[in-house]
Amino acid sequence: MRPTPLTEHDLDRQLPEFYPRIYRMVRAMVYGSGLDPEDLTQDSFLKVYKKRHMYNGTSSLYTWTYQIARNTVLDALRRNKLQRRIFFWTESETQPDEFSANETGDQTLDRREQQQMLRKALARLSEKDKLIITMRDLEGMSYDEIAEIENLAPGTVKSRLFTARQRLKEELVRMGMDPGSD
Amino acid sequence: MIPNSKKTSKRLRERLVDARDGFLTGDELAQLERDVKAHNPRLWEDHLWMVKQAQKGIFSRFSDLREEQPAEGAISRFHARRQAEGGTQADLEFLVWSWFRRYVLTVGILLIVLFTGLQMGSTEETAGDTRDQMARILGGEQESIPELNHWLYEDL
Repeated sequence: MRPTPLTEHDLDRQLPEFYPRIYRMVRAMVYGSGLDPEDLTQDSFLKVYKKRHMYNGTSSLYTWTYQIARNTVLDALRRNKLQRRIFFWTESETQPDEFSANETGDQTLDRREQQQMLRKALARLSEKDKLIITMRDLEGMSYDEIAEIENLAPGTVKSRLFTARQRLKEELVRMGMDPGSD
Repeated sequence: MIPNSKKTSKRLRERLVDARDGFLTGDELAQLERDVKAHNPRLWEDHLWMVKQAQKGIFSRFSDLREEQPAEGAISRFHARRQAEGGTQADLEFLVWSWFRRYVLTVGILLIVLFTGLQMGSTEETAGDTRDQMARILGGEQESIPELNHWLYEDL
């Protein structure tokens, strides 16, 4: 049986709960790219409102919304990368600022610095790795939810997550973080 | 010794994630450690690092990022933009366009395919009629056509 179509009112009711979560994902994904996370979050929700007639209830409304936002962000990042290539901007110019633990003059990073470092290391990962870490470690989504959004088996989600975390570790080490430090 | 294959590596990485999430018993963890070390010791080192970082290291900073909120008034700004970009009217346009795309274009493409097929059939019929007419003009005998060809092309 076809579920009752989503109304604007249904979405309006869910918006305060969904908006901050989607915003966090978008922000983590576009950090260091020059794209505006608020604009992209709005673009995603505009699509959600427009496409609401297509929601068929096979997945949760949040998963469906997340999928739309994910695609919107990936498209924007692809376009952004293409524009940078066209205008001959080199990758290094657009990378987030270099960050080194040694710059602090103290080997023990404080909370704020760790946060910054994590963001910057995440920004250096591929979109695929960034997305899976964002979904699991930042958003705390279940493996089944991630599997549904990414159209993968839950086992594959786990193995990809492990690899993505390995790459994150490599980036942190490259940025000057001692792998053995807390 | 575990065979060094992609499949084994994938399975071990899956199990290491389970281990980090705390889903393995002591025995299972010990067995996994042996398997992983036999396959690729680096995986085990990375696993230990991840566990340590999740508890009190840099991975635990994800919880700080989780507390971040969009700028104040973001939802009202979104509603304002939605209204400015047409709101319900835009929704209706989108609905009409998706309906058009789904049905009208599909039917259109089917009609074009059907029409092209019919046209090809009638072209074949016309060609058949032309062959008959030619045969009649040239004397009605099919056998005379090779002779005619010979006569037509002998100079080439």
